[in-house]
Amino acid sequence: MDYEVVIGLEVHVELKTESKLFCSCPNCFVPEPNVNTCPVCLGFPGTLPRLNREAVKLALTASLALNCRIALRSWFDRKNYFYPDIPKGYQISQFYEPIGSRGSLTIEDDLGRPKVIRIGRVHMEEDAGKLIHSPTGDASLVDYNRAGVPLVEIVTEPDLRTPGDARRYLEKLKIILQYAGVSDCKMEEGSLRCDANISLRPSGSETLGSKTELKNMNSFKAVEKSLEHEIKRQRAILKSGKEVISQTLRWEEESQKTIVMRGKLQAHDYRCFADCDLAPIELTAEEVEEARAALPEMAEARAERFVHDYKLPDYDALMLTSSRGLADYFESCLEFYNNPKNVSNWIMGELSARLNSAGIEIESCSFGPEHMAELLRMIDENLISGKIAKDVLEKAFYSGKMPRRIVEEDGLLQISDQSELEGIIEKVIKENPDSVGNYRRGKTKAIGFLVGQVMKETRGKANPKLVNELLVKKIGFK
Amino acid sequence: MDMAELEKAIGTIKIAVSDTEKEELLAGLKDFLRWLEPVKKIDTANVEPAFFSHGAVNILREDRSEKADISTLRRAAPDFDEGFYRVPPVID
Amino acid sequence: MEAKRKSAHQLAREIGNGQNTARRLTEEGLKRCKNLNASLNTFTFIAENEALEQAKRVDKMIAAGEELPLAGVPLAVKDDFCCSGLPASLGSAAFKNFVSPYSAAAVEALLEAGCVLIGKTNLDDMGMGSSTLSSPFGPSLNPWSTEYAAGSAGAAAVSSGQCLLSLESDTGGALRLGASHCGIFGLRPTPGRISRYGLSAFSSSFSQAGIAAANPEDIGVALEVLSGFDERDVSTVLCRELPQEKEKDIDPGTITIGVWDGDGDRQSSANRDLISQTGEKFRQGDFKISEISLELFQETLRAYYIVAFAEASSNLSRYDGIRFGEAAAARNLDELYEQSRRCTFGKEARRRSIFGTVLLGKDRFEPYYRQALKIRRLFQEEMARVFKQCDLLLLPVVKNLAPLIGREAGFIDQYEEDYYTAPISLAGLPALSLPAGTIENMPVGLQLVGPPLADDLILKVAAGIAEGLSIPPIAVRPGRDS
Repeated sequence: MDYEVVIGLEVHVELKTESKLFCSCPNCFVPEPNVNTCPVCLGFPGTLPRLNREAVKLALTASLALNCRIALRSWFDRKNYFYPDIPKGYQISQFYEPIGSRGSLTIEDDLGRPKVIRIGRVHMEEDAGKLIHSPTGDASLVDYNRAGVPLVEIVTEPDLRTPGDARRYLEKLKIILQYAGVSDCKMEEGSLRCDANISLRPSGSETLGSKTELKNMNSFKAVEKSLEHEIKRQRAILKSGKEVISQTLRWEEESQKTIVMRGKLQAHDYRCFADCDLAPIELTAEEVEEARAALPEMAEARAERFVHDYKLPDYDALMLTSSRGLADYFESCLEFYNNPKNVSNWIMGELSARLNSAGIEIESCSFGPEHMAELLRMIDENLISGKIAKDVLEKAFYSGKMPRRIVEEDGLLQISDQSELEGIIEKVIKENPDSVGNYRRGKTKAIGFLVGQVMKETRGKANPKLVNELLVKKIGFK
Repeated sequence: MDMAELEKAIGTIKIAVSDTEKEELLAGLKDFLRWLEPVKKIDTANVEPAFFSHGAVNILREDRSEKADISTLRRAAPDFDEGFYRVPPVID
Repeated sequence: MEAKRKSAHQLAREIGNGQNTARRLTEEGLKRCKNLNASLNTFTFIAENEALEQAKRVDKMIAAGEELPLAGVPLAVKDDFCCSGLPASLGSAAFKNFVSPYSAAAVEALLEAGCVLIGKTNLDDMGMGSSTLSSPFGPSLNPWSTEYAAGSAGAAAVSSGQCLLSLESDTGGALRLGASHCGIFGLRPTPGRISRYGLSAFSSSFSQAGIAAANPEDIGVALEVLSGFDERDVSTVLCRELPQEKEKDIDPGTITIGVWDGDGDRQSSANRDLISQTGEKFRQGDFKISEISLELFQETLRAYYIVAFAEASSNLSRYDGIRFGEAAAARNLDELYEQSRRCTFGKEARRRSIFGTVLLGKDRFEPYYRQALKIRRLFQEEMARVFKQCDLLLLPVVKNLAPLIGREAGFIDQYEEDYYTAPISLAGLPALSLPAGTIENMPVGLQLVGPPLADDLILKVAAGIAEGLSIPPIAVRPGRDS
């Protein structure tokens, strides 16, 4: 029998705010435990939550960017349960009335056809702290730095059919949320977290099979791998005539396997009810429309604009808009240096190669748009050759120095002085009579070798165009 | 209302209760639910529950961060060591 | 019995113009408190050093020409409010060594206005109750007769002259019942008039800060100091709707006092008598009187208890022995929770947490919790209609005299004591408990209730018929035990 795979994803995304959701503690990672804490996020007696305006704005933005319907009145509820990482014995979350619902996101399926993934809800909630096991094993340690960090939870309908679908959904979601300015979405750093629900059912069946919940995947690749692994496992169980147990499984990156984390999935009774300590959020239809109009330009629109406004090839536009950071970088460069195709070539070529090998993101790169603009201008002004420029870029990339300064300090200025070059050219002609002869016999390609020799003599600093001209003049037919 | 439901509630809310007190609580809970019976008879058809005790809406704080004095907070903890709140080992 | 009291605002004036000093007054007051506390068990903590410090500070500020509306006024604060640097037991034996790292908004405001915080007053188990009988520190005794409970220790403190002002909490009626039992005034203001920030509330819907004093004017002065928008408590946004200009003197002829004499209870005839006597006083004061009938009132006490218990089960979940309080020795996590929470809660807090959990459970959520919230709306609507017929409503506050020490009633009977007070909490209305007479030589009050934000009107109307209060016998010669 053949089976159909049904996958749904629950994604938690940390909102990019300065402070926590309900108190003024900083929302930023610090290695030292329990320093970003205060009486409110530690749940001290008598404290009350205070809602962060920016968090609401970002949640609204995320909902709109994911084509959700916006609740004109939403509020926070308490999800009641005990665990040491939640300080109040309840998590404040939007249970009954999420700010966004019934959204969608379009991905490409395994065959490259567009496919709409429905998004059930987008809601705001506070993050929990972190529980660490002490090295001695005699205690668990709680760090509340993360407790109260603002999150949106984005829940899909069970519309994904393959591990590839899941990975592409996450990639697309990340790009959208980054473009919307909602979150960094760095899965490795935990600002995007993903749980997956997966079940198999006989092809053609309408009812869902019993599902398992996968946790602890810390990259998009891991999501894909763990789903592949789980499909194999469930298929084997079903083929042997047994039933899949509904349980929570934990992905172990080292062994590339899942292990049982919690037995039978229980419908936990969280006794959710509205939290009177907070005020509901009310929006007018006009406010929603304003927010929609103010949505940052998304990747597709930006790519189209790049093609139209900057006359870039489709491929360039697609590459440059693959992350908001890259697209922003590109456009910043244009503010200083207006040759879009040239900038595009250098970003996609040399800069991307540097970023990849250094393993850093464009946002934290010290070779900024001003650096890029200055470098390209120096090439245009014949101050350096393209080859030298590559070296300069590498130096600037690691040191953060401005390209002009590197060129000056290292004496890399291009030699465009005719009299200085003539001496070297004479020398090269004298030392390479064969090539000269070949050229004169009509083998014009030989000039390339001679130019190369001059460049070698000048350690790449000679202006190649000028060298070519001078050589032709000297050895050419009279 | 039976002992099973009461015990489930006690387990959920995590308070140690002796067997004698459990019996007492069960009897009390039955009385209490009986006492509450009249509430069910009130006609509330088409009435929207009043979820909030106040009429406040859109009370929002500007997104500015501030560090709190953590030393006094830590002193209140029964078991705080090397920057962490300690609890018995938790096995997932 | 004829000794007359000084009012807080008079006293503040004397200190303000140099006739008296906060320091002298505080020293005398502390002596008095220590004496009386020995027999009445009013305080969980007497803040001797802090009080003297604050008194010195106030005297200095007065000398520097500053004006403080409550300069040197001795203040008692119920022990479910946090005061930075002072112990806050919150009504739990597990918190007797807990020192609050921050101050409640209301405490801050009163200290800023010149009050001298004398001590923290006793309270029921986690603030749950209106007798002090369930206090882990033993009951507070009633200054009118130590056979009876105080009802509210703060009210006893005011009544016995241990302080002139008391900051209290009122959820289902503790402040109003206590004020009645001790023969003083107690205001539960409109929710949102006073910030709840720093009040350990077992019910987020109902727990409110309130004020007890020996006269309505003092409550008025304190309310003015306390009232206002505090961004830490969303409900206080209501204060923005307050009129900018203070209401001038009232014209009784334009004010209708609705009267409802309650229904079927043991003391109803006594309550009826008090209502008619007090109604008569209003009539003599030229107020209009109108009989009011209430339909839903009878069932609202139960609706109140459902919501209050449900919220209590959640509000008290933060007491887990991890970040504050006491942690029981435990081998595993569940044991830590179960044992720590057991030693934090008394019997009543345990009962309310567990019953509240049951009421929020899957099959009971709809018929109990949501039904109670619907009743809340219906009752709010009914009360809104009542206040179209009258400006304020006079009704009983207590069903019975203060509970007798050592004779604890069944828990449902205890809940029934809130019969007249809890519904007002459910409806979210301001209510003043005012002394109305005596029964069996014990003081008994009545309740004056108004629509939201009618607090100032209530206080003015009450002042119109208020008489000087007598001082309870135990407080006439407080030095006798020393």
